[in-house]
Amino acid sequence: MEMKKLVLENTSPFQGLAELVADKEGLFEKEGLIIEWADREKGVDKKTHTDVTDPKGLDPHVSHGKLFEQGKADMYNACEWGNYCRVQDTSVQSGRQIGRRAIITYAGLVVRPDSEVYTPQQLANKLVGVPFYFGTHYLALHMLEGFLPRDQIKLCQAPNGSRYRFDSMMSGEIEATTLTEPYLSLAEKKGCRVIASAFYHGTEVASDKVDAETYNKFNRAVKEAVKRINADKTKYLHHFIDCHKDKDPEIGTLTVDDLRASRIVVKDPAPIPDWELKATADWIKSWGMLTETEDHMDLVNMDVQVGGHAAAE
Amino acid sequence: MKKLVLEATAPFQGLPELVAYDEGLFEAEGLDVHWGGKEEVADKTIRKDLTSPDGLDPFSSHGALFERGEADMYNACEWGNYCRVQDTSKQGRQIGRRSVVAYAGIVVRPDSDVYTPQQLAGRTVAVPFYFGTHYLALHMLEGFLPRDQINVCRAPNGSRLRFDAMMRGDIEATTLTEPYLTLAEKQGCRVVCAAFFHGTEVASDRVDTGTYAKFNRAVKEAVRRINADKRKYLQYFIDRHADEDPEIGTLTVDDLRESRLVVVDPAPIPVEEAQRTAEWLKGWGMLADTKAATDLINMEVQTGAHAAAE
Repeated sequence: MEMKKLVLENTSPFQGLAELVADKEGLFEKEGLIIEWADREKGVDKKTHTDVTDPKGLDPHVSHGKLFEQGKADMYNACEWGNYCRVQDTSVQSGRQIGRRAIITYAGLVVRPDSEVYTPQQLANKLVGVPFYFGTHYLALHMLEGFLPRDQIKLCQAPNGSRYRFDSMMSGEIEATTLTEPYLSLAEKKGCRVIASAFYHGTEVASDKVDAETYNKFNRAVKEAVKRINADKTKYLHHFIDCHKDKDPEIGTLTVDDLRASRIVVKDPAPIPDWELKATADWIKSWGMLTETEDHMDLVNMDVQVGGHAAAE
Repeated sequence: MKKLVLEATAPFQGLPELVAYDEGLFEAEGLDVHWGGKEEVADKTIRKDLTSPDGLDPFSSHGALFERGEADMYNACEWGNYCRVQDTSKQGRQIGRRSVVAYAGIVVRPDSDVYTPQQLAGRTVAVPFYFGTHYLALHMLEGFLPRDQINVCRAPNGSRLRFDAMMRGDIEATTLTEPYLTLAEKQGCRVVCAAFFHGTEVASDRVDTGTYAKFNRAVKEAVRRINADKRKYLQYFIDRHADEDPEIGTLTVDDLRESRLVVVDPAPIPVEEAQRTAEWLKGWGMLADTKAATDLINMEVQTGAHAAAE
């Protein structure tokens, strides 16, 4: 079998467990794909900027999409909202979304144990640190605007990487932040409160190196990984610890008993439904983003999306 | 000893009061607390034809005994109590926030094609109108959906009945509280979004400042004990239901999460929060007959009793 090399931007279990499992268990190889992971995190600013209160003028490709934009990666996965913005601003002619990733990510808004905030409403005019253009930014907006008028939602720029935001929150620099696993579990173990939580989708963005046939192979491998994960979620929880423990010894103190299988939701990768695509684009525009996109369908490579998923059935 | 009749409660919305009662803390304060009846479920059916609380009785369960003069005080979600106090025939007023900050989530079946809150657009989410899980569902959903795509219908109070209706496929989703959230997760259901919410106490004039101060002192001690050992008190969430619901009896405290149990000293309702809550309720067409949020609170008892309980 002729092998095809695919360079993916590196990922974490909370947003790419299925791909990590497919790689580790040889499922990509079985489909004729050699996966290389490229580190998108080198040199990324890890400070909280309380004076930066919206994403205007910031680079959407600061981490996700960075290597892709430099021609050093063929594909990346990130939250759907951020990818709409990244694709709008891409300098890679063929860079488009080609489908939804397998994991539905879980994240929550967290406050310190000694915070006087117990409900989302009580975050009115309090500073919530979020990484602009990342899923936990958009999810925070969604969760908060259910409870607060928009003019009472106060965000500021916080780094991507839950550890940095967790530290920023614990130091009192910000009142709240959105975290993903395993930092949600770590925060809870330390008495923090997850005052609101939800699941969200992500998508894959690819260059024309990923044609329908390649994406179909990729999806077949991911589907097998999804099947394996769903058959025994507990078995795969260790990925959430192992991915971080070398750089973050505190995560190494967690065990799989501290994590919750119910927070892992993976399903077969699938096309982005048209009505959801439109609803998502409309919502992003209502927050002053995605202003240069007239037709949301321009953000998706429909040929690859349709062909890549149909062939993977 | 002063006798006080409270409407029955459940751990998810009244754990500190139950602990204060069981551990003799009310008695130590000179209060002879009695629980009035069981939580009432007036109509156990899902009513898809009832898509708003318009014309429904806010006292179908919380406040039912109180309105008949058979209870002196009850606790329920803050939103519902604003509506109940507006419509009371017994001059009941809110006198402060309860100590438990309740946790609930919107749940779908394992085989549902809904994975995110946005995907509930146009789908039927069944909620018990006038209960916390109704208002919380609206709050959570409107963060993700325009209001005209939020379709709620009337479901009974009591998580078991709603859980069963959802599992049968009668409805796409519903809001559940503990221990049913945990039971649902154990059965593979997904909690697509979740949040905490406050509740308040509504009392008649039998509960004066001195009485409420005693009540709050007992509850504060219960809060202290619960926060010192949450795991110990998780058992309440099972024991409260196990006799009537054997499936809950199969759960252990290891299945439940301490992080979902949040209790805090009872406190006054902050005026700006009362205002915001009232405005939001009005935004959904409720509380139309109330001019000022503060009319719904007995400020004298609220202020005096919390200060005295320090």
